[in-house]
Amino acid sequence: MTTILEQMPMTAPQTIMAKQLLLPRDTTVESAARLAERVLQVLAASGTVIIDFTGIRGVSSSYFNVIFRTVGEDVGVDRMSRAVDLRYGSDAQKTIGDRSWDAVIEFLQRTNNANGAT
Amino acid sequence: MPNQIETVTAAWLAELRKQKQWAEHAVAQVPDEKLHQAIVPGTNTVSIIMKHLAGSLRSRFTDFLTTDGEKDWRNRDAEFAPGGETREEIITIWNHGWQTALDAIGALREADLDRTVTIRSQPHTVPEAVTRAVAHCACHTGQIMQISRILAGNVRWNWATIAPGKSEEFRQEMKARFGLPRVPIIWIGCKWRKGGEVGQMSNQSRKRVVIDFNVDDQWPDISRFLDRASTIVSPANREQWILDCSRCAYLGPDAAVLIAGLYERDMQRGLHPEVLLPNEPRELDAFCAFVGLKQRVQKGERPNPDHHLSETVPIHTFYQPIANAQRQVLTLVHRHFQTLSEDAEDALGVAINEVVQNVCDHAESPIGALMAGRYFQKRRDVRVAVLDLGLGIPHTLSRKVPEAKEPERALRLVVKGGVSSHSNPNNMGQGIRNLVDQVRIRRGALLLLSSKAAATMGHDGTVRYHQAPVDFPGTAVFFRMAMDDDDT
Repeated sequence: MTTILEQMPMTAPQTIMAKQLLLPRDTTVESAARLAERVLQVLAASGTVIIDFTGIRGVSSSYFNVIFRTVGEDVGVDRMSRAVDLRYGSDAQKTIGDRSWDAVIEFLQRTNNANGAT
Repeated sequence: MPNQIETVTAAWLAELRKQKQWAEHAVAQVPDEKLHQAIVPGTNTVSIIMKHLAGSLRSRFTDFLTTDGEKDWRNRDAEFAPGGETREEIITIWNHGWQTALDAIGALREADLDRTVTIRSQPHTVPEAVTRAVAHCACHTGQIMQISRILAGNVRWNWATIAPGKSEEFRQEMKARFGLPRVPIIWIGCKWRKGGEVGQMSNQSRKRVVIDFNVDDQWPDISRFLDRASTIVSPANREQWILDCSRCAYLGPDAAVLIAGLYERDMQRGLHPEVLLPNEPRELDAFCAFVGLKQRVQKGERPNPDHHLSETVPIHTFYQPIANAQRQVLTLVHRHFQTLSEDAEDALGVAINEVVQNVCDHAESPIGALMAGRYFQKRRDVRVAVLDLGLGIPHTLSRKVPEAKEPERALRLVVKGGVSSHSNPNNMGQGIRNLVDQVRIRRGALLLLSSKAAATMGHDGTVRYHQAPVDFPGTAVFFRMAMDDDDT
C-alpha cells in the first residue's frame, strides 16, 4: 500500500528499502537515524524519495518518529510532505507510521511557531 | 541463602552497564564524520577510545578464569591507530568487547572469588581483576563523554548524567523515589570472601511474605500478589526478606518477572532477598526453570530457550531498545506455530518494541527492563511480561504534563496517546496507544501497572482503570494476544 503525499515531476523518485538499513544489533533509533541520513542524501541529490518499509516486522513508533523528525527538521515540513513517499508493508505498519507522521508534523509545526519561524 | 557473589557481581554489572550506556548516549550525539576527529592533534578520537576499550575488555574476559588477560592475539597498538571504520563497524567492535566482559562476570560463582588470574603474567585475585576493568572502563567512558560533548557542541547536548543546575532537582527526585538515604553498600570493606559472615541474618529475623495462592496473568491475581507483598514491593523497605512461593500451584510469566525484578533490585541494595519456589506440580517446577527464575533467584542452571519442550522465553534484561526486541518471543511462537501470519508477527513485534522502547527511554530503571514470555499451545496465544522498577509513568510524564501526577490520569493520558515528555527525539507520545491498539486488534488482554494505578483491557477491548493496592515503584506491562488469525 502506498501513501502518495505528492508527486514531484522533475526527477524520478528513488526508492530506499528500509530493511537493507536495519542491522540486527542496532537500537531502533540507530536504525532509524541511518535511514533518515540516507533519505537526506537522496533528497539532496534528487527531488523525491520513496521509503519502502516492506519486509520489516514490528517496528515501533520510535522508528518512524526519528525518520520523520530528522528529515522534517532538515528539509522542512513542506518539502518533506512533497518529496517523501511512504510504502508500508502491513496494516499495522501503516497505522503506526501514519500516526507518527501526523504527530511529528504537528510537533514540528508547533516548534516552528514557537521559534517564530515562517 | 544467597551468596555474596550475587551482590558483588550485581554491583559490578550494574556499574559496567551504566558506563556503557553513558558512553553510547554520548557517542550517539556525535556526527559520523566526527567520530574520527581528535579535538587536539595527537589525542585520541572517540573511535580510537571505543576500539581500545573494547579490545581490552575482549582480551581480559575471554576465557577470563583460565588464560592470561593479555591475549597473544590482541594487537593493542592497532587499537590506537586511526581507522576509517563506519559507526556501525565501531559499534560492532564495541558491543563485542562489552558483551564478553558482561557474560564472563555474570557467570562467576562463589568459588571463583578465591581464584587467581593473571594480566600480563601479573597475578590478580578475581575481584582485583574485575575492579581494575571497571575502573578502566570508567576512565575511558569519561573521556568519551567529554570529547563527544565538545564535538557535538553545547547547544544540542543531551545530558545522560545530571545536567548543570539540576543537582537539587535530581536529589529531590531520588529522595521521592527511594525515601531514606541509601545505606552504604553492604559488601564494601566486609569479609565477603567468607560468604555469609557479614550482612546476612537468620531466617527468623527476616521479613517473610508467603504467597500461598496461584498467581495467574490477570489483574485480580496480580493485585492480590502486590497486596500481600506490599512491604517488600516498596522501595522504602530496608529489611531483608524471604518471598515464599513454595505453596503456589501456578505462576505465570507476569509473576515471574515481578519476583525476578524485586529480587534483583534488592540484591543491588544489599538486602539479601531470598525466594522459595515451588517444586511441584512438575509443570510449574519446569516453568520456573525454563523461565529462568531458578537461575535468577537460586543460581540454578541457565535455561535453554531452544529446548523443544520449552514454551517459555526466559527472563532477559534490556538496557537498550534493540530494533528486534521481539526476536526471542517470535522464535518461541514460530517453534510452535508453523503458519504465523505477517499481521500477527507485526502486532506482536510492535507491542513488544513499544514497551521496551518506553522503558529504556524513560524508566531509569536500576535493573533495566525484564522481559519474559510464554506460548500456550491450547489457546494458541502468547503472553508477554515486561517490567521495570524505575520512575513510573506518572513521574516521568508529569515533568511535561502536570496533571499526570495523578496516577490514574497519567495512565488515561498515555492510553489515549498524544502526550509525551519529549525526552528524546523519538518520543511523540504514541507508544502505549499503539500497544493498546495492537493488543485490541488481536483480541488480546492487557494490564498496565504504574505507581498507584492500573489499566486493564479484556477481550472486549474496553480499557478499565483500577487503584493499585501498593504504590508500584516502576511500570509493568503484561499482555497476551492471539497468534491465530481466526481468533482476531
